[in-house]
Amino acid sequence: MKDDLAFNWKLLAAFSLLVWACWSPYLALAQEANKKEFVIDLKDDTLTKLVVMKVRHHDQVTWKISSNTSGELHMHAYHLEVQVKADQPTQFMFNAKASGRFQISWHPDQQRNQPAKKNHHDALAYLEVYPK
Amino acid sequence: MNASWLLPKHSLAHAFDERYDLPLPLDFFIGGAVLTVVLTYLITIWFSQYSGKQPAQYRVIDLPVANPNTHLANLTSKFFKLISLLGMVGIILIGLYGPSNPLMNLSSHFIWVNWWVGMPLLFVIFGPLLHHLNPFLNLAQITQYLINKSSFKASKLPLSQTMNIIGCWPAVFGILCWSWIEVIYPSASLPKFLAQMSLVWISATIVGTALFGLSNWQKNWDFFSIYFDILSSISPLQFNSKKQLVWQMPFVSLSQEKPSIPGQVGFMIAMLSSVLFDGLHSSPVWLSFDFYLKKYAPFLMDINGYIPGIIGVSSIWLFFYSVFIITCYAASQIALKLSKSDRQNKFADNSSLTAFDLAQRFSLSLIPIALAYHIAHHFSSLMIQGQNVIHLISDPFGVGWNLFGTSLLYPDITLVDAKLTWYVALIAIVLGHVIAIWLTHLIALQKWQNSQIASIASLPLTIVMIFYTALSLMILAEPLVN
Repeated sequence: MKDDLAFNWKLLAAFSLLVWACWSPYLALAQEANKKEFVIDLKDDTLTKLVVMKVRHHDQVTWKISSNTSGELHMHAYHLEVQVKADQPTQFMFNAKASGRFQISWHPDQQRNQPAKKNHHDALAYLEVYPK
Repeated sequence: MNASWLLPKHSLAHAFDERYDLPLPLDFFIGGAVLTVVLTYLITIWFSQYSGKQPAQYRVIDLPVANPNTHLANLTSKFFKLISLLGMVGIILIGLYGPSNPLMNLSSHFIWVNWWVGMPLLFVIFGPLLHHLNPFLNLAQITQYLINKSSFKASKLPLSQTMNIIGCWPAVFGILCWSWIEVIYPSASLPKFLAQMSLVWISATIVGTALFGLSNWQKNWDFFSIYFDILSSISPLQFNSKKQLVWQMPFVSLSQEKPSIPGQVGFMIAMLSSVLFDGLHSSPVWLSFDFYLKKYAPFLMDINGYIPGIIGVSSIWLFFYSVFIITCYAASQIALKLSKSDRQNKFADNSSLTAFDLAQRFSLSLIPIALAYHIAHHFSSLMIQGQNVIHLISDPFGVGWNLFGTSLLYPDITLVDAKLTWYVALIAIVLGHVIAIWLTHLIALQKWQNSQIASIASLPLTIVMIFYTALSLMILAEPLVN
């Protein structure tokens, strides 16, 4: 009787191990699929072309930001503000918690004390968060 | 008054209410288009067998607070009128003395989002019960009351007598101007500009009521009142001829024959064209229009895009107006031919089958499509940007107050998912189309008293409705212009 019980536990353990071994690659893939990285490389307060970043809802988004001038990268809808120093690459991570299309603006430090330009939102890039 | 608001300082046209919508996906677009056509076909078939009975008023609602003949209703009415006037004064003061940044000013958010987008939807639900909340109407009524007390008589002025000829064409011009300001004018979101425009409109209301009389001002000039009045006729809550509050089927009021005035068709078309213009301006179609205008008529281009905007808003209106009139003409000719060949149709009356007569009757059937597009286009803005009033009302002048304890309650952008927005847009547009088709057939049946003549004669209008609906879906599915 005791031997049967021990055998059953061993069988259960082996079975669980097998399931985990088969399933874990899928889990890892799913996690990798939820992480998105984007490079935002600014030259003289602008990008060479308008960037549209596409992610899925609840993806982990990483921005790798570099600029030859200092300023603030701002995504109004998400209340995100990233201070970037000149020639100092910055990394910023956030969760794409809300779906939609969101404008990303750049506010150079030299313009932040000018009220007229402070309120002016030119789109540098867009983040598009698609529902799953 | 300082007119420097005429000169734009920032290009903020429509940048104020930054849109978070994603374009409608292809499968939604195709699904919507297929549903539109299939449901149109089914409704047309059903109506060809329909008996044509007018949907009756359901029942009278005995609500003392809404019964104009009761003291309670009069007190309630005065209370809400006072609230609306005080609210208007508050919004103007906040616009003049509050934060200059429109994103931080209650008046910008309230006027463009909560009032211009949200209020029409409330009128659709609660109907004429909300007329007390229209501050401009209330102001006009006060003006009329004061004039009645004086010896001044507007009705004796030659101007007021010409109103019957001019009709509501001034209101058509007004709503198109308002649409241009909303979409094109860069300073449209600036609080000071909005406050000054409100003061201009208040002055116009007082002078207009004095010159033309309350009734003429309300019916012919005050496009806000006309706009809300039309939408309130959709509501299931209405007042009957005995001033009793009744509950009836929604939208059925639009099928009932009412005295028409010149310009009515133009106004309905303006309601439809102005929302479509808003959508088209955000799409690559506008870029193409700009490109070709610059190429072939560069003298029309100005640095702020004012003239292209005027051309855009007026030509879209003119296009839809022309298409509608031509369609009604086609319908009248078809009905005339069929009526003449049907000797048993004793209601075949040539005098009632002119294109303009039909246009007057059928124009109201376009309102569900305009309403549907309004909902589809503005749903997420209303749900997300509309929340801004919650935190802004606690600190209206931006001085660090927290009057209602809500100054830190910023909008929750996760409240509305993109997928929900797509479903709301799709359902609104398809439903709006179905109701428009149903109304068209109902009106046709009332007009010609013969289901087969009505079905065939309303085919041109049905096709035009499919076109309007398809255009609405296409605009929503177009990638947004950066």
